[in-house]
Amino acid sequence: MSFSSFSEPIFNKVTPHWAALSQRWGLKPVALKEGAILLVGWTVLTWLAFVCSLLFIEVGERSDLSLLEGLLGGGLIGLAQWQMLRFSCGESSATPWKSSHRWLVASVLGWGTLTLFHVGALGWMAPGSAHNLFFRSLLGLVYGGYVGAGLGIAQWLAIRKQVAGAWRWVPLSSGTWAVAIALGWLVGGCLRAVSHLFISEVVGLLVAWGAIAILSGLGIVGLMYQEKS
Amino acid sequence: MRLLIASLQQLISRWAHLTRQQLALLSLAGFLLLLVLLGEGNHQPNTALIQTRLNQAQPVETWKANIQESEIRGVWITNVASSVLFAPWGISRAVHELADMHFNTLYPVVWNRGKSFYHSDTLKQLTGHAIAPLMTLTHPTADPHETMLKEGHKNNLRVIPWFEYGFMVPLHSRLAQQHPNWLTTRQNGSPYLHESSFTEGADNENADNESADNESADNESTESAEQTNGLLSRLLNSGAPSELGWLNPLHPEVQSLILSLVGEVVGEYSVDGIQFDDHFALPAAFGYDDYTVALYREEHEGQFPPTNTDDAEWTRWRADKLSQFVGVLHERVKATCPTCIISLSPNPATFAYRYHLQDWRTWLKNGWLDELVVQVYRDDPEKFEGELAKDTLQSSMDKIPVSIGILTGTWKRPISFEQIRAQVISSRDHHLSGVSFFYWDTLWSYFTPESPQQRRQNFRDLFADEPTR
Repeated sequence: MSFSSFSEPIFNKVTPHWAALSQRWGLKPVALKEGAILLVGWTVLTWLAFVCSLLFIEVGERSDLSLLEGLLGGGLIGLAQWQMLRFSCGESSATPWKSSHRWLVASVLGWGTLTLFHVGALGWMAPGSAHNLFFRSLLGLVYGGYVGAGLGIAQWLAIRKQVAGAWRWVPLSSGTWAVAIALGWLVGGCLRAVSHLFISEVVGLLVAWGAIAILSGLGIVGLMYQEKS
Repeated sequence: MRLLIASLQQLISRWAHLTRQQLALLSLAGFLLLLVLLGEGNHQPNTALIQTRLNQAQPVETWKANIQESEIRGVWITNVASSVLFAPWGISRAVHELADMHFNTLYPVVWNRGKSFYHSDTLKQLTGHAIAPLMTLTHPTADPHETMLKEGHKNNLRVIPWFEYGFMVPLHSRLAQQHPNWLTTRQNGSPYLHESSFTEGADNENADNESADNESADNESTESAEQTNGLLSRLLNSGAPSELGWLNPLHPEVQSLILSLVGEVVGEYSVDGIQFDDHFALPAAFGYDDYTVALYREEHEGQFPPTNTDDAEWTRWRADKLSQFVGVLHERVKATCPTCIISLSPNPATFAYRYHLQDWRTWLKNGWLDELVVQVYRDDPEKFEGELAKDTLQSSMDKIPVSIGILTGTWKRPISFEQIRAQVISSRDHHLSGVSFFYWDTLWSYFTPESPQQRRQNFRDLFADEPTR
């Protein structure tokens, strides 16, 4: 039994539902499959890029990430996301994008600039252990929103010609980071209170980056594959 | 040359379907990655390291003499719950960081779980593996122990290989399975020893005051405990074997094995000495194997050993046999490497003798030891102070350098830096020769209560001065 003979009946059943969904969400129906692939690939690669970055960047409590580490971290994340954009938005796709490499440049420069402003470490940073859980979450919301907005602006510059209403990426990125960092720091804080080990904060950041990967993936798919009016 | 580069570019572009700009970006990313890889993950400013490297020019004798005069600042490096020996850059990174923090002594593991962490012909013949199999995967070409020595000496650190498991072996190891007659047994004929029943006794806050009943109760419940050990427990123990046994220190073939292993380490590597710890002993519950019983009967007009494991004469007899072997070992080490020191890291003397039949006071009296690192793994400051003030420790200091083994934590038992600082200061107040920390991975890592950066800063402050005593 070939894969297509197994999968075709499933696709035939699912396609009308997808079409209805895309109509409701304002997406191009033909792009729905591509969008799903982009979402999954984006999520997985972004998260794995963060895991890889831990080989070179040490999670800490202070925003003392060096410029090189900021560039490297941003580069790794940007590289992973660019690969997905390249793959999903090639010439044969529904939304061809020839200059997707700009995403990588924007990510590297965005992280680098944030590092210069001493907030670039946020993706690799935990708040001090003295803070209570509520305060940690609040800090996460504020700092996450700030960094997300900074990154969003840099990346908006990369997608503004490709995507209509690309400005929406800025608040979207800000919101994504705010929620994700708050969640990650909350999880990290809870685990640390139980285990008394700093590794809890790393686990919290893994959760945060998981949330960043999924939420930003949903955002980018929504923007890239929106129905053009 | 240009033609070659152009063709190469074309080839890569065609292969990856990349534009020139994309290729340039990839090259930039590759360059950045290379920079970080070359940095080997050193995250802190390395001003002290630069200084250390500048000092490399001094002769080996000079820095060794300096260490003799200095506060001993040691650390144990093990393979258990640690990646340092397995990561390709782990050894080099660890040694550089330790030198940067003004440490001066390394105790790297060379013998653990029936495996060696250096190339051993003896074990190759016995087990088929010259070195722990995982090490051959992560260090396919280099001998990791040689790397440790080279890096350590380059950074002015003493390297004293540590025979961590001593006579303890996992029962599923090839060594134990191929030579069951080398194992000693308890009174019921069982060779089982749960590791926790050994170490928990040592870690016990009231070690010296505990009754023997607790220890034997631990041993009695060993087999049932093994059955309740689940996957989680094993994971928390870093895959530590749950079924452990004990090589009989009185058995001539076991003694021959240990002498061969030690001979290889001191004879074939430029080590500064060797170290044994509380596992170089015989737990009081053991000694009822056929060989030991026959030997006892031979020397006691056919009488069987007492059933009471704590019987004074039975304890003394077994401890003396172990001491005799230490004498032989000392002779062999000094004959092979006269400059090598023999270091011992036991529990406090009374406990070591009573529960592990390790009569290190006699070993010291006979001049068989050159360095003591007494494990004082106590959380309670009063109990810690109490151990340091004991007469045995103070009188030992008149003969050889005596330092204190301080626990910096385990995965299951994280220890705050405040406690570590207090214990180091207390050791200094008692005029001890120095401290050694158990273990590398809980000095500054994610497996500590504080962040690695914070922990490093704390150690940097604690060891800011040149080590003098």
